[in-house]
This record gives sequence, structure tokens and C-alpha cells, in this order.
Amino acid sequence: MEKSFGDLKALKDISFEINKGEIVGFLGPNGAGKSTTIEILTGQIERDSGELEVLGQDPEDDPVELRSRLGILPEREDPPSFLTGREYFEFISDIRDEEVDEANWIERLHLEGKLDKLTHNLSKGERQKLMIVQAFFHKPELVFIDEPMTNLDPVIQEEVKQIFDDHSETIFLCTHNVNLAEEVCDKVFFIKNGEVVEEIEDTQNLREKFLNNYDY
Amino acid sequence: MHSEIFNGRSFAMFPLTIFLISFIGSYGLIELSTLGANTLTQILGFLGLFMGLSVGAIGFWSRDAMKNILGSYNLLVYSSRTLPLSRRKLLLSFLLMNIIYYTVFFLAPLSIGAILVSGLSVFYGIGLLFGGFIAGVLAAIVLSNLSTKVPGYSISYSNRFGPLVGKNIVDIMRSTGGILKVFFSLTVLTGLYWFIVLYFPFASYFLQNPLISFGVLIGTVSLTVYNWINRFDDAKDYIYLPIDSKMVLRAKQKSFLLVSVPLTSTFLFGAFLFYSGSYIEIILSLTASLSTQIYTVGLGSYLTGLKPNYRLFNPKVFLKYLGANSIFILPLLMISLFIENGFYLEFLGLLGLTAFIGFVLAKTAKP
Repeated sequence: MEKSFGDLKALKDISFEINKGEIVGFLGPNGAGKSTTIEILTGQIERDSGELEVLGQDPEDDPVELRSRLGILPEREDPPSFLTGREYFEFISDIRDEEVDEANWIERLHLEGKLDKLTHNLSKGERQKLMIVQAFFHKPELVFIDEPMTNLDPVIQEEVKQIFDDHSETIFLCTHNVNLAEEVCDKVFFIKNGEVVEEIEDTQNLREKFLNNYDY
Repeated sequence: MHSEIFNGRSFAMFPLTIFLISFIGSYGLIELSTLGANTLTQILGFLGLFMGLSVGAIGFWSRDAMKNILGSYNLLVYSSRTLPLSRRKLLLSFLLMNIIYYTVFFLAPLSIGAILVSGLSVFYGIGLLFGGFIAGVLAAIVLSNLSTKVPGYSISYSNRFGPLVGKNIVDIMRSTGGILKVFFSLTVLTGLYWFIVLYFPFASYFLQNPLISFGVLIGTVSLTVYNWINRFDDAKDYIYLPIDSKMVLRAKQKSFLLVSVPLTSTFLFGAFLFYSGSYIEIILSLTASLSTQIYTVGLGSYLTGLKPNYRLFNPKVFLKYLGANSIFILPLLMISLFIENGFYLEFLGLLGLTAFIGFVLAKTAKP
């Protein structure tokens, strides 16, 4: 697929395939096209050209229906809202018509005493925890994750890796964190200037392979 | 920012539009009516006050903007988090920007239009225009500061009308000033009506039947409620969920009715206390208010989608809005003046048509 924003070619004839149940890393530096790829795959924006299938459907056909089957963790400081954390859980439960197992997530992500605060009064890391919950609570067939560890402390980072591991469905992980990709991914694509430059099946010594590809 | 959004030529059209409206209005007032420069002077003074209050209302949402509730709403506001600038200084800069903006794009063309028609005899009115503007800004800022003492946490999230509507209601009630900020905006706009009706002889016809025309008017100015409802989020905020911008727009329209109808009804009941009308007048007034609110949200969302707070500054959109309002609102106001002469059915028929068109516009509106 291809995508341009004005004169900027964000994605140039990018092509890849992901199998069910894999945790796939999409690795690249800032501005490589990682977030754009997620936005196209989840029907948030339209591609310029190319063929595409996510869970058997073209994301542009019915993006809302597709997103009801997905989990998406965007790279942003959400949720910026006047809802409390508990109300935010109610909100996403209502949207997805599925209850959040509140007690489980409070324990896993150390959210004790945080859910009655307005979300905009929480720290960035605490807000990121809520976003992780919304991406996984409904056990989606496929989860798209963009820089998941942003603002999280090391203890919670370990718990998030465990959440990835426990989630037995497919995960598409965009990151520039090589260590994270090496640790959790079954397969990695290197992306550079809007193109997939290498597919790595063996994620051992990923840092070395990564640096070889990005000598700027 | 505005020139970027609306492209240069379109943006330059805005003061020209204001100038033309001012010129035509002043000409009509001075040359085609029995009213004189004195009335024009008074109108200019009150317009200045009204615009000042509107600009000063920024105080109601600036705190939330500063806390990044609105996301990176703009670089100026966001910079309080990254640069060595105090929030107070940023608010003052923002205010100064708005004062310059309104001076160049509203007050100046308005003044030139009036001066070209009535010469320097309206000089005192120009002074009142600018003086009223400054007074209005200051008064609104004082009020917005007082409003921070108002608790807004008593309401809790409910999905009774859908999750997005529930969130919209919480956002507006818990943001700075709570429901009072919306009440304030409506007070300013309805105050304009009562001030003109009570103090300007040319508008005293409305006093023959003030409740019904007030019903029409308050439904029309309720656009400000739609503006407030769209201040706290963006359709992009929900894109990671199975929600699209059309769903957000529908929720905004429903939220508008849930907030606006009780508020405008409160104003109407307040008016009933002062002008005790017959049951028929009260019912007609409430019906007129409901019908024009449906039209307002339909027209507002049709023309501006989820961005009423800046798309209405596009002169093409602004003129369309004025034109579309004049098709239904002006006839409704005219009929309301003579309704006692037996125009009840005509009035109700036009109200029905107005609501129907509003409903169609709302259904076909795009984000």
C-alpha cells in the first residue's frame, strides 16, 4: 500500500503479511511510517493505493465494524477527559458492549485508589494504564499497539509484557524500542522512510541488526 | 491560524462582510427609517458590550485548555507546559490576541461602515463600541473567575442516552464554570433581545407579544449551546474505538437538545414571571423555542459539523447561516408580532416546517 500527505510520501509500496497468533514488531525510527501504517490498517485513514485485508476485510469497507473486533492502543496522551477512571471503564464497556473486569485490571496495573480521580488529573503513566486496559479488556482478535511503554515505570512495563504474553491472539506492535521488540516479538519488520527494508524471523541480537539498517 | 484554515482570500472576506453588513444596516437605519444617528450610537455601544462579553468568555474554558483537556489545542496554550511562561501571562496573551482580532476584523469594519453612512456624527457611537467592548471583556473575565467556585462534580456519567452523549454531558458539567458558563452565554444573548425591546422605541412592537417572539429568539441564539458542547473533544479522540465521526456528530446533536431545552425553558419560565401571558401564549412560546432549537442545531451542524467554533468565522459559512436563518426566523418573528390577529395556524405551520427542515438538516449534516 501507499500513502502520501501532500508532497510527503509516508508509505512507499509497503507490503507484508502477518499470521494469526503472532506478535509482530514494526520497528523503525521516528517518522518512518509506523503510526501511519496502524492508522491505515485500523481504518482511521484511507490509503492512496494498494490492496489490504485485516481479519478478512478491507478496513475502508466498514472501519467501525472492524474496530469493534480490534484493540487499538494509540500513541497519545489519552484519555483527556472529565470522566473518572471508573467512568472511563463504564464508557468503554458501553461502547464495546462488554464489561471491564475492573478488579483484575486494578490488581495487574496497580490502579488502586486511582479510578475515582478525573482522568485528566492522573499522571501520564496512569492514563497510559487505562489505555492499555481499553485495548485488551474485550479480548480482541487482533491488537494494534503504538509505543506501549511510554511513561510506564519498569515494574508496570514487565506486567504489560506479561499481558502481551497472556493475550493469545495476534498483536501488531509499532515501536522504536529494540529491546522490547526482541523480548516479545515472534517476527519483526524493519521500516525506513515508508518502506519495509527487512523481515526478521529470528529476533535474537535485534539491536545489532537494527543498527545495521539504520546507519543514517 | 484562521488564514491557514480558511485560506487567505476567504479570510480577508470576513471583515469585508462585516463592513457590508454594517454599511447596509446603518444606511437602512439612517436613510430608510425614521430613526436617527442617536439610535445607531446606542446600537454600536451595545454591540461592543456584547462582543466584549463573548470574547471575555474565553475565561470560562481557558483553565481547561491550559490543563490540556483539549489536547494540544494550539501552540500558544500548550506552551505553558513547555516554556517558562506563566498561565496568567499566556491567558493575557490569548486575550490580547482576541482583542486585536476582534478590533481588526469586527470593530474596525463595523466602525467604517457606520462612519461612511452617517459621518462623524456617529463618532460618539464608535467610542461606545470600543468602550463597551473593553467593559464587556473585563466583566466576562470577572464572572468567569467567580464561576470557578461553582462545583460541577454532582453529575455522574450515565449511558441512558448513549455513551457519547453521557460523556458530552459530563464534559460540559464538569469543565470550568459548569453549566453556568452556558447559562452566561445565553444570558448575554437574550439580554441583547430584552435590552433592545425595552429601551429602543423602534423595537417596542415586540412588547405587544414578547413571550412568543422571545421563544423564537432564544431557540435561535441557542447555537451558543452547540458551540459549548463542541469545545471539549474532537472526533479524532475516539478513533481508536469503534466510533466514527458521524456517531460523534449525532451524539453532539442529542447532547445539544438535552442541555439546551431545559436551559432555554428556564429562561422562558423566567420571562413568563415578568410577562404573565395566556396559556396559549406560553404553549406557543415553548413550541417556538423547541422548533427553532431543532432548526438551530440542524443548521449549525449542517454548516459547521463538529467545528462550529471556528467554521462559523468562514464568511461563506457565516453568510449562509444568516441567510438560512432569515428564511425561517424572520418570518416567525414577524408573524409573532401579529399573531393575535388570528395567525395562529400560520405560525404553528411555519414552526412545524422549521422543525422539519431542522430535522432534515441534522440528519444530512456531516462532521
